[in-house]
Amino acid sequence: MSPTKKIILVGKPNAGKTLLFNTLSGLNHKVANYAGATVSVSSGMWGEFEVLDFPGTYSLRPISQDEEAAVHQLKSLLKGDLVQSVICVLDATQLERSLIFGLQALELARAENAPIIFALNMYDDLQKNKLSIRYQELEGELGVPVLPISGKTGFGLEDLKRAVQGANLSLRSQAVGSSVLSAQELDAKYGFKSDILLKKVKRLDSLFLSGIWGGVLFFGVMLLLFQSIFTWAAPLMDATESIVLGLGEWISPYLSEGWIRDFFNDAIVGGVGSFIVFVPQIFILTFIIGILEDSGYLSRVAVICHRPLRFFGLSGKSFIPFLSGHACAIPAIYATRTIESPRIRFATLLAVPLISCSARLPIYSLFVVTLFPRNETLFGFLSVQGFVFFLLYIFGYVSALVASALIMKWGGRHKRQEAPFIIELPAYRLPILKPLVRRSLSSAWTFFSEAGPIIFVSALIVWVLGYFPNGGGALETSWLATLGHFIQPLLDPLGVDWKFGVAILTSFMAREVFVSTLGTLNGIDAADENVSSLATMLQNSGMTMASGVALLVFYSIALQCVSTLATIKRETKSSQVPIVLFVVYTGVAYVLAVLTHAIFS
Amino acid sequence: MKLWDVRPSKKVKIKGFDPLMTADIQNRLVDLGFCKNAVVECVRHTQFSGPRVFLVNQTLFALEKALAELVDAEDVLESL
Repeated sequence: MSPTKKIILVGKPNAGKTLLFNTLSGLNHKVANYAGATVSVSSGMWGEFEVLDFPGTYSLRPISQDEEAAVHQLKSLLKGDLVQSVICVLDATQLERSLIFGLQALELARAENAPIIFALNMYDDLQKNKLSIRYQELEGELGVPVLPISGKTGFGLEDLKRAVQGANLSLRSQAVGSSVLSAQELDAKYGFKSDILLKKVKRLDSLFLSGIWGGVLFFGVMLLLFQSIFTWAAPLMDATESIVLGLGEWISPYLSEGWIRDFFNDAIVGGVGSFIVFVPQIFILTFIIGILEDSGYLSRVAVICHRPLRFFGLSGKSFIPFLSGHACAIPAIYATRTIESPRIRFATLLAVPLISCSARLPIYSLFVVTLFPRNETLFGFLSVQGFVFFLLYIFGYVSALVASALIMKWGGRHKRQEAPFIIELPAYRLPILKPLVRRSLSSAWTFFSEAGPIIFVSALIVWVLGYFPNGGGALETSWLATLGHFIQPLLDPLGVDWKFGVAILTSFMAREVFVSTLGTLNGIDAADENVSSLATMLQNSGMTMASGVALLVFYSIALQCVSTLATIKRETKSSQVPIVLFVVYTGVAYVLAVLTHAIFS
Repeated sequence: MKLWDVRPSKKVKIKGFDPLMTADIQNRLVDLGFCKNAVVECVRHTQFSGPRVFLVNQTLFALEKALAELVDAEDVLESL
């Protein structure tokens, strides 16, 4: 069998390579309207070809380690004979800028005798504005195929496919006689002459980047984001809860009484089903963050936030990983790769786990519902519970910023290296619904599939420890109770009993487990779907505001996620960093929780 | 004049880079279009001395003060 031929997608950042890659391969990799959304080489199949999506780079002269690795990989591939074609993706709306990289790629491809095709992506944007590029003449000037396409609408992809399939036969022979014109001259000769697209961007920037309105809009967008997580997700969460409980009630009578039925009700329905209810929240969170990313607004937010973040030693680019961290810390840690300064990247990476991620949602929900009334509003329209949620997220940011400032001052191995802040402000674009929904569903599925097994195993262990040695008798005499009582002295300063201790212990693998464990210990099936039942039980058991807030503080800071620690280890190439981080964050979380309890008491 | 000092809506020509700027950063700026003799328009100043927005090659970039102060520029009219 002959080895698979490769198609390599290259281009400047934000040229639409990943959208094209997804369209060609049918995969669902992350696309976003800001430079640096792709941080590693992705691979997928397009017919008989393997398509490789390279991270965007402004030039073949890299200045960061990741760019260097990508450029090195590209050059190595081109030296082999497996390359069917290089597709250099150009942003048709920014021809001159795209050609600066394009001409470098052309030179490299010619040096290695590799076929190259220029794909003028986003050509539909030009057509919408009645603009055009004289691409056939440009093709003649450069001596390589130049094709107008749209990764978004699929326009021109058939022509691209035909060009790629014929690449090895014809293009190598075409690689003769190159233009001596610069990118600027080529644009002047063949590009469009209108600044209509730019005018639109400038008009919107005068609003989003303005002194007062820019800040107000930013604050409003963030408030809307957190309100939506709590209020818009509620009906979906209720529906999920009903389905899971209904299924449990339907199946349970068919099982023989005794430990099998108990196991099904407590470990399966109460354990595995316990976190499903949060899937809608994660979908909505990812969907809204996706809108911000795809619209081009996120780059403006990086500009707005740069000065405040600089105060803590960070850069405006740190905000993008921070915002991604609300969905999950793991992609957010990868997103720090776009920060050129190793020192700022290190500080951002270590601060990301303090941003309130989706796994904290179940715990926040439980205590917010327990401690604050559901129907009360602020100013007649803001839900109190939603507002408390907002404050919890703000607390996450404050913690992350303080940690970053301390890390920038005393930590890190890169004290002398610094890179300045430069960010491209892309054109504003309407997000495309289909990939956005697919991406959000993919995030929700990732949460379900990755957290699910951990939660199941944890729930199983908790169930076994709680069920034996007395075969489901009094919980107070179980192995679990023995363990809980053993750590009781540590819990006394927080004003909670041994059951909370057990829930905290089990949540060290993944913090989502806390609520289901607490539910199991209190005899509430599927506590996560049934947060209100558990909340009512906690209210009736006399849980104080001091203990509830102390636990919220603890869970806002403690680093209880094995996957995050493993990712930090991989990204920092150090085993010490995650261990130190785990000890420090958990220690600080405990001390602050004790102090909070003392103050609120 | 430094690039940082350019007022909004004003166009300037890049004269060169301060010797304090490292070669890596110079290369990156050149790749972005901030090369010698390139015409750059200052589009916007942001609040609290935040990054300023410049237009070069039909693309908008935000540059922070520490960087824009290391780019020498001259008035387009002066250079004619």
